[in-house]
Amino acid sequence: MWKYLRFGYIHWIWLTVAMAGFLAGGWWMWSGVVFLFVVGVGGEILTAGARDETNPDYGHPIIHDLILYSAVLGHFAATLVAAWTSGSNDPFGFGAWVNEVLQSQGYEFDVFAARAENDWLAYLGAGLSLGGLLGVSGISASHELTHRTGNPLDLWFGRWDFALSFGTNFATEHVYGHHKNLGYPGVDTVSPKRGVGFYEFLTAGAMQQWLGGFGIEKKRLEAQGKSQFSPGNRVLHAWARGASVVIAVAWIGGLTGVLVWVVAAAFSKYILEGLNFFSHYGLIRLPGEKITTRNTFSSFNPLSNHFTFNLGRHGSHHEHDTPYYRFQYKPMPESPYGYLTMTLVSWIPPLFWKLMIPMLREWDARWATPAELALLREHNRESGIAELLDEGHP
Amino acid sequence: MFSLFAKGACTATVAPSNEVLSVKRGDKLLDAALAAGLAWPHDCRVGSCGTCRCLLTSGKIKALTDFSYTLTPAEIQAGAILACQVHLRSDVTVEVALGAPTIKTQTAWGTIETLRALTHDILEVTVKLEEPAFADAVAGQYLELHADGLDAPRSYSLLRAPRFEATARVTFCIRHIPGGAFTNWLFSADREGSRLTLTGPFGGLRYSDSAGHMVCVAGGSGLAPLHAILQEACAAEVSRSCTVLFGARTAADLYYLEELAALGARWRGRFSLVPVLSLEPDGSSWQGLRGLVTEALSPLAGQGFAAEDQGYVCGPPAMVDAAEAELHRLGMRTGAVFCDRFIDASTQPGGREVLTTTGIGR
Repeated sequence: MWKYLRFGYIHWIWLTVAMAGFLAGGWWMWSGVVFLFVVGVGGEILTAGARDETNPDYGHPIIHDLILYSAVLGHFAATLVAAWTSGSNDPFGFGAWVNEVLQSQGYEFDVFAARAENDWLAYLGAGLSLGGLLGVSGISASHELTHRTGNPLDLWFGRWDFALSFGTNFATEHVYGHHKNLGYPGVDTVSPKRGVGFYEFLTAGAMQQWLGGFGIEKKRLEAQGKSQFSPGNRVLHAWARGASVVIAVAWIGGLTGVLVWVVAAAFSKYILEGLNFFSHYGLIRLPGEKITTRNTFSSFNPLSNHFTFNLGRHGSHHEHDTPYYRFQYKPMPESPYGYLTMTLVSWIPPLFWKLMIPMLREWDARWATPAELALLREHNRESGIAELLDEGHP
Repeated sequence: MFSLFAKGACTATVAPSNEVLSVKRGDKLLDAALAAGLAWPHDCRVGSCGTCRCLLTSGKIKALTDFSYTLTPAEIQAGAILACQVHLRSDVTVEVALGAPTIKTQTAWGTIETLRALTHDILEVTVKLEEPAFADAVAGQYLELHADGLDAPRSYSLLRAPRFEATARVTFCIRHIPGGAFTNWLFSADREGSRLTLTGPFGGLRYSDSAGHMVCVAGGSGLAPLHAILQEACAAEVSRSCTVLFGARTAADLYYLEELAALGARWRGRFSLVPVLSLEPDGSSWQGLRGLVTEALSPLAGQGFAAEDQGYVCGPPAMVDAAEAELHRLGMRTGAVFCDRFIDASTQPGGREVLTTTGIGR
């Protein structure tokens, strides 16, 4: 059973901790983001040597899907509870119900009194906690689900899950742009060229991703003889979903709720781009050459993959689009720490260069073909990174 | 009537090799083909790149993604599907070129050996490679050229397949695109001796044998890949009839007429070369056809093209689109029109040239 539940337990615990924190108020509102850094990043660092190289068979893959759906429902619940804790109403008598349940269990705790005490520092904690959840658990679940383009139910779950953090274009740009253009810096919005810094990537890359999504959708609709403003525009659907999330949050949580949610959406985007940045950094593919596991940095840290629905097995995902539980282990380029730690590292440039330069040197030495090396020599020269130009480097 | 609930599998017959595959319910066509050991071309496996496209000629499928993200309306109309995004709803027959050589690209270096002006804005560029390379390149394919100091590579078709070139040489016809980084560089000074990085070969355009009429339509520097293909077919001593429609603006924009005439003289079947000028001044001594090159297709088709007839079209995208549409209108089969659109990379995002080649079921 563990081989199934390992993909669920972290999300369930984390969601519970974060929502309990929202209701407890005050400093407890930080518990979701503390969980991310202590259990997630701290756990990854403590288990840096642990590896999961198994490729199990699953007799009941439906369990994996149920775990995914449960997480998505949890993301909805967490978003609404965070809004509730920022508001002053009690829609659907939610607070009264929580108090009743607590009392029936013998706890004297008033969630209304707790939320009345919240100050801006508490709200910041709520925003970061929700953002951490949506950025890691939310985006990895919705990423998986929106890849399942043949399954309307999965797509529905995935698109709404994205809407919680206003991920409006990702589902289009990622599948029909990134998966085609991986390893072409300048063409793919999330394949940063060597030498590009994170904050440059974050500003330019995020914009390009938005525009990319619109362009892809425009092309699709035009191919069907429709205008890009036709009712079938899926990117506009996604914006409408995002807008309805904002409206729901505003209704429950008022202006404070919206501000908390904006912090959450921004933080989740910051996480997503940190992950995109290091995992595709500086890698190239010659035009027309097949995508393989070499074209990303992967991680086989078990905890990391429990947090991210196996997204650490990133190379396998690009080479062979299968459900997350079938991402395979085989030798491929790896990051020295798990995906959460590496995301944090992306945000801190001095630390990033310290870890990334050896990764690139190893990639060039071990994984690059002679033809790729020829192109990489130019990229290395243009990057101005001295360690990629010394004589010992291929 | 129980098909809706039937477990088990459907079969896919893969033409023209006539392999028969069993595809389990819920399995994707591409996955089943690869599991059966077929060399089915593929890359991204999420329905975005189009490499696994094939032609559905009979049977029912369920599409797992909207093909219009990736395929053109004409392709979809013709029955093209993406094997990586398809479940079978019945037994099917599909057409795909199996074992289409997986692209094996390489990078080589060379220097520009000779530059010859073919017209006022087209140069014949011969590159001497440091060592022989691109031996696997097929007539019709292209390389990416990268000059030191320039941002992005540009794509140019080979004028001849490597076996028709002198040792370690490759030749291109390059038209000056005002504002284009690479051609501005090339035309702004004498570049003989300049160093280039070349990568390739790329592109799916190639000669496909058939007994029918071979109709080539070239616009401007689009003559280069067609020259390579004609040379290949001529060397194979094919006996089919061939017409080369060569569109240009004025008589001064025509080139390689002697080379093409020499090819025609060796061609086993009937061969005609028809230059068509669109902007030739009225009072000039030009005796040939005037107008758009696509207008010359209709007289050629007579009562309509036969099933065996083929079209090979290269040049600016607008001309290629028009010629492709006209060939189909005149009855040419979808799988029988092979195109290479010369897209001006200076107008593309990221400066990268994206050459699109169509022609399915080869």
